[in-house]
Parts: sequence; structure tokens; C-alpha cells
Amino acid sequence: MSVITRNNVSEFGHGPAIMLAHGFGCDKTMWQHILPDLARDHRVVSYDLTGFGASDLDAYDFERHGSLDGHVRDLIEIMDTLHIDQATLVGHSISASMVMLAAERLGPRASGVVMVSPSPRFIDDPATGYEGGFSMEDIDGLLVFMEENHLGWSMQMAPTIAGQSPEAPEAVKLTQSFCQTDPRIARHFGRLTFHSDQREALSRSTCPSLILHCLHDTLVPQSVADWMQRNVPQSEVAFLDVSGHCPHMTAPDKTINAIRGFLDRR
Amino acid sequence: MTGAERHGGCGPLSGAFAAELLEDAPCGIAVSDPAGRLTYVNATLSAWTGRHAAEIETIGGLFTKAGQIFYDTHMEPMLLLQGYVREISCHLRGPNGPCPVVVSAVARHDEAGAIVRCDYTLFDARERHGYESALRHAQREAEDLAAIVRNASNAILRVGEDGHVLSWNRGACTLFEEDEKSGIGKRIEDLVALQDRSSWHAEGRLQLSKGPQEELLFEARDQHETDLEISLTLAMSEPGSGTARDTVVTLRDISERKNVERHLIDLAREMNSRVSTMLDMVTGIARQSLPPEIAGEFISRISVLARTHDMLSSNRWTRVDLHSILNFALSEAGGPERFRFSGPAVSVSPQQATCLSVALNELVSNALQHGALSRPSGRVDIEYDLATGEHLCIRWSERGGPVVVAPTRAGFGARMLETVLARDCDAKVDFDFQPEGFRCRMRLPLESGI
Repeated sequence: MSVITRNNVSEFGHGPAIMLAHGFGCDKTMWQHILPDLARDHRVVSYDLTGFGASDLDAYDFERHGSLDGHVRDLIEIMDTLHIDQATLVGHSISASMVMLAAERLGPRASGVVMVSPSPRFIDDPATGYEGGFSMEDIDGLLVFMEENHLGWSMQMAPTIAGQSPEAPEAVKLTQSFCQTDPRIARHFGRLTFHSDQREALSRSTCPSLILHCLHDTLVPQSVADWMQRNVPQSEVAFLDVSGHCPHMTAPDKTINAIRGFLDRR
Repeated sequence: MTGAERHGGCGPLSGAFAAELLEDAPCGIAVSDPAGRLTYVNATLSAWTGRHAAEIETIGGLFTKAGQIFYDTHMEPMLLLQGYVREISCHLRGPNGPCPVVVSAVARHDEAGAIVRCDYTLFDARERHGYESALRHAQREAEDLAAIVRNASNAILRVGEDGHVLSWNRGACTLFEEDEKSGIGKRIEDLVALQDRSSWHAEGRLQLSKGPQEELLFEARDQHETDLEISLTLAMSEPGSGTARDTVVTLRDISERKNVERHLIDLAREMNSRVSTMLDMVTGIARQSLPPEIAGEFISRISVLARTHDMLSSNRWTRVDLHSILNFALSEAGGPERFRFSGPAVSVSPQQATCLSVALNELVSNALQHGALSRPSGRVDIEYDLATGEHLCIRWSERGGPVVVAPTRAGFGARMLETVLARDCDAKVDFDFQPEGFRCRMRLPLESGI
């Protein structure tokens, strides 16, 4: 299977390349509100992380994808396959850390990194005074919700997928796309995401980066943005007066402006 | 019935009625702006959270921390992208801890297609949550069990009443060298054609259905010379059904173990044969090289050893009946007229059997030469019992012989008796030289030796 099929890769526009990597619990459709604008003067590549969306679930390797490095390799393979010599890497949430790791690996092939709602570590670390915002119990609770809702999906949504639903086909497709992930993969990636600690990797970054932080993000408290501002070299922070964790969905205009500002300064 | 009649005939939904309906609805209702900031929370939801509506700023803030993450990472993207979410299980942050709810939401759009607000309904899901937890637990247990069966190295098959295979695990594929599907529908007795037991499954089924046995376990060879351990149990076709029953057949390839067993049996047979030959050679050498008066006694002792060895070999070196040993002594002593024994059925270990044979031979030899059996009217009585349950107590009594005089020193026989029994069997031996007849008491623990 080709890398393009494996990761359900899509390409839009022409110009300097931008790679878009979605975060935990989502798929590439979450970029749909900002992608058309960026594609006006860029070659924009979006894809589903292996194991999510319409990617090849069989390609999810619990060993390879047991660390962010597996996803970094996937991203680089996509760039290689598409012969992209240089790109700005944009990642949301956990993929913000992932694209930063990829930039380190790519060296000059990464011209810049945009981190949308990044958090190098979600769990508090009392030993260093770091406030990620969550305890281990909170994260365990999240994994339970994922399991519960998967059960709900598998029991209730199966007839819908078989075509007995009055819902529009697009809606059904989206529901499937969001929920389709094998529950084992969702649990595995959930653990990886929320148990991950990328503070050291972000502190040694050498690639210019933009940090997009929503002022009312329950998932990423202000303390994390402050930490990022202090510790990520060559970074600039754009504070968006936006609620939630997905400014590219809830406030696409503000997000586009911030990204364009960063790209123009490069 | 019109809408007006349904709500009390007060005309189109009045402001007061609608407000009451909304506020006291049997579910939580909330409205947020596109960014998730709450603009309305009904009284029901406010009561569930234990907070005033004004205190709750965002929809995410309704939930526990874990619920908040789930909202941010799953629910909100779904709501914004597809315009609705349905029946999402989550936990409210309640005054007395987390409260399970099921959330549905819909995004409302303006004419241009932009989201203007989101409406949420939250249903109390405590009962459903408890039921689903139990269901998940049962599902996990079933999956664990299925995984055990699936990955077991033993071949496990479900066989229908008519003897045809309904399903089998990976172990069965390996054993029969077939793929997952090819065995389904075949007759189990064709798949596993046992030598001399062509109807083993039907007969086993019949035996099990008569009860009360729950499992049949046996070893057999199939037509390919494979040694198998076969277990047969009845399985209910449906839970609670007492009638139509399938069988579960478990097959374990024990060829390797059987080969080792056969090899060990051959080895043991060879060893027994060599020991017998060796004892024959010792007897021959003694006959050739010792003076006749010593050779006789020596050869007699060796022959006791050889005879006991033969008895134990034929008994596969397991425990032997004490009567067999006493019968040897009886034949040496001249038959039942002169030698009687009485006691319960007792088995002794191979080690004890050897020691007792030697000891009894010494006692019989002594009685024949010097004791009661040296006179035609003399006789020996043996009584034994398990008085304490843990010790075997053997009492040897002679009478009708010459007057007994206690020896001034222990002869070879007495020494051997004491040494062999005490050393090898942890036994206590007492001699009593009564003038009317010699007596001997041997007491040995039953548990010692296998």
C-alpha cells in the first residue's frame, strides 16, 4: 500500500508547502475551515494520522506508533513520497509536539513550525512545578469515556452505517470517520498523547516556531503557554481570544491571520 | 388533538408555559455560542450541577476534568464539523461527585451557513451507565475467555449433537494441519479416527448424557499413530437450555510424552533384567567359591532378594500387598500348617517390601534351624495390625519348639534384621526370648517410602 493511501493524503494549491497534522480524537477534516485560504498561495498537504480517520488501520503498528517517533516517520515518508523538499509543518495539540520532533529530524527541510494549541505535557509535574492542568486520574477517566462511547457507537451506529439511517450520507461518513478508529488504537494513542512529555524536545528546538494559544482553552491552561514562551527557543506566541481547543475550527479567521503573519515574516 | 388541547387549552405555547416546560424539563438543557460559552442553562441542569446557571461559563465546564478533555477533543470537533452529536456518554461535575449523562447537541446555523449557537440536551444516565458498565465487564470477561480458547495450544472443538464439528480454535488447525474453515462440518470421528474406537465420540456423549460424570478423559492413538489425550464435556447449546447439547472436545498431542514413557518402560525392563542376571551371577559365584555350609545360607538370602525384585518388577515398582510377602515366607516355612498369619489388607512400599522379605527370610531360617519349625509340632503365628493408623505392627510368635535360651551374643540374622529394618525402614525391632517360644515385634511407619 502506498504512503498516500495509507495516510489518506490530500493535496491542494501550489506554492511553498504546508503539512497539516491533526490532533488526538480527530481526522484531517478538522482543517477544512482554514485549508482553502492557505491553499490560495501554498501547496497544502493534509492527511490522517495512521490509525485515524480514513487511514489504513492495519498499518497502525503498536510498536512503531507506541511513540511519537512512529508518526514523525510517517510524516517524513509522506514528504519524501510527494518530493517535498521543504515545508512549514503545522500540528494541532499532540501533533504540535510531533511536528516539532519532525522538524528536528528534517533540519533545513522544515522552514518553520506552527503549533496549534500545543501542550508538551498534559499531566502536572509537581517535582518541577510544571502545571499541565490534569492528573493521572483525569486521563484515566478520559480513556474510560472513549471506551464507553465506542461501545455506544458499535451498538447503535452499526445499523446507520448499513444504510438504514435518514441522515445525510456526508453526516454518516463524518460520524464514522470520527468514531471509526479501532478502540484499541484510540486507547493506545490516547495513552501516548496524555502520558507524553515533550518538554525536553521542545526546549532544544532550533526551528522557528509559532505557538497559537487560545486564552480560554480548558485543555491547555495559561501556565502551559507561559512555559512554552519561556522555554521554546526561536518561538513566538500568538494569544487568541478564543474559547476551546480548536481555534482552526471555532475561529478560522483569527487562526489564518496568525499563521499568515508567521509565514510572511519567514 | 391539537397542540393547544395538549397543553391545557391555553392557546399557542404561552411564554409562561414554554418557560416552565424548558426550565423543569426532565432533562438538562443548555445553549452556547459557537465558541462554547453558555448563554442558557435550565433549572434541571443547574440543580444537577449544584451551581447557579451564571456560575457555569462554558459547556466544557459542566463536565468533570476527564469529561472536559473528551468534550474538547471529541465532542466539540464533531459538533462543529457535522452539526450534531448524539448520545455521547460523559460525566457531569455534580455536587456529590461525577454524574453520568448522555449528551446530544445540535448546531444552529444562520442563512449564510455560519454557526450561531449550539443547543444541548443532557439525560440522566445513571441506570444506563451501571448497566453498560456491567455489560462491558461481561464483554471483557467473554473476550478474555475467548482469547484463552483461541490461543490455547490444545485443540479445542465444539461438536454438534450429530457429531459434526461446529467450530474449532487455532490449536485444532495446527493439530490437523488444516486452515480455519476446512474442518467445519466434518465428522469428528473421521477427523480423529481412533484405533479400535471408531465410535468414541458417540459413545462418550451417551455416557456423559447419562450423568453424573462431567468429563471423560482418556488417552488413545489415532490412525496416524499420534498419541492423544482426549477430554469430552457437554456444552449447553444455549444458556439455560437443558436439552440439546453440543460437546466440547479437547485434544492434546501427547506423542512426545508417550514416547518418553515407552522409552522409560523399556529402560526399566532392561534394568530389571540386568539386576536379575546380576543376582544369578552372584549366586553362581557363591556356589562355586564358598564352602557349602556358608554358600547355602548366602544363596538363600540372595534368592530372597531376587524373588522380591521379580515381584516388584512385575508390579512396576509400586506398593505391594503384605500378603504376597508373607506367602513367600509361608512357602519357605513349610506351608499353612506350620505358618499362619492374620491381619488386614496392607500395602507396603518397594523399599519396605525388600526389607521385610529379607527379615522374614532370616526369621524363617532361624526357626527352621533352631526354633519352633525345627520340631514337627512347632509352628509360627504372625499377627499384624495398623493399631495407630500410621504404623504397621508385626508380631512373630513361635511355639511348640525347643526351650528357648536367650543368646549371649546376637547372631548374623538378628544383626541383619535390626540393621536392615532400622536403617532402611526406620523400624523398631524387639526380640523376646521366652522359654516357650521366640517372639519378635517389628514396628515400621507406613508412610516411609513410596
